[in-house]
Amino acid sequence: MVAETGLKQTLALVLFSAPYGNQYADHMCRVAERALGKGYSVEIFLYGDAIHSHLIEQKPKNFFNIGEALTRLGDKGATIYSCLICAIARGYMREFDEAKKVYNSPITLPFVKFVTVQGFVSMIKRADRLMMFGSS
Amino acid sequence: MKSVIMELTHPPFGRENTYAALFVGSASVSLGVKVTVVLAGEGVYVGLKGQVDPQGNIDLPSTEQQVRDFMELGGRVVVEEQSLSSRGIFSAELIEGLEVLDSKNVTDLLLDKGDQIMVF
Amino acid sequence: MTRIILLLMRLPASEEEAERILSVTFRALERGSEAVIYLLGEGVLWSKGLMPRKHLGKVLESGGKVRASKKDLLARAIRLDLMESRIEVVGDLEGELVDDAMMPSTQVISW
Repeated sequence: MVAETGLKQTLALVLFSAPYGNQYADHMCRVAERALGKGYSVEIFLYGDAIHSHLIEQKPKNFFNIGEALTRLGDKGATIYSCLICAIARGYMREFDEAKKVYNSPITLPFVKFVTVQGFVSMIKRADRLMMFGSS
Repeated sequence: MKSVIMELTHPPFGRENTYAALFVGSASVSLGVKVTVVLAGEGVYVGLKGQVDPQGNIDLPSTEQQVRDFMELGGRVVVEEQSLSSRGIFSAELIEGLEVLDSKNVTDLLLDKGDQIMVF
Repeated sequence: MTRIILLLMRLPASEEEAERILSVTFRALERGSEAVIYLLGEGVLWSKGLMPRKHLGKVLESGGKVRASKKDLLARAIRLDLMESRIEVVGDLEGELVDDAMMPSTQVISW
């Protein structure tokens, strides 16, 4: 969907809870999928326990697979951010790439971008609309 | 300037919510976003002054210090009056600088100032 | 602001919380704004046992709109034929929510 300025409108989605223990990640992914389908730009921020959503090799037997859903969203153009300090706290960061000046996390889905809290604030500033999932 | 409201609805420490919200709140204020924190429901416990060394006692950072830092950066903190009175909390127990508003004024604040509203 | 959207994905933890969640809706309607409540996931359970002057019953009485996710209702054995008729049952609630939320002058609060 294109605003009067000619730019795509941006929907920002913040997830604050881990997958599988509740449905918030499912809801967030489905809203993101619909928004992308309607031509909106979608940015997702995984905050707090939500960073477990980007763990590789998730294999829920009967549940909606959040890792696969995020991968589909990434493939369709959603930008997916993860909270760097939340990821460090939870053991996702294994090495710091001195050359690229970025942290590497071999257990994280490859398209996820780790950012500091400034990245969160930048997203808030860019977003035309913001929705929270699992934070209340 | 974008105007953000963060409504805190949980007491401090039991969940990451309060810490995470105030962390983003302070960063937002320092990067030019207008932020109002609303303490409502169980969230009014975040407004109590006099936390005794939470880092030393329970290995968690002081949310009272976070509130003070947030206000020092220019953030506004509002407490819902009815949530205080139903819990027997007096305004004298609150961190200096917090504003007590009745629920009608709090909802007006949400409707008038919340370009984006985040409930934590 | 002219429209407020409440996205409810869980039941309230207490009567106090229920009233606080909905207070912004009542105030918006009092001020002549539009208010729409979206019930998604476990939030669809807000639609059961409505009373005219309480919670969603009062929202409907006050001119607010309530929309509920059909698949979440069906999954929880909520019979559509027994639903309050003014609650709109929506097949693709997430899609409708996106369209609605991206409208100009719209605020979104999720619980």
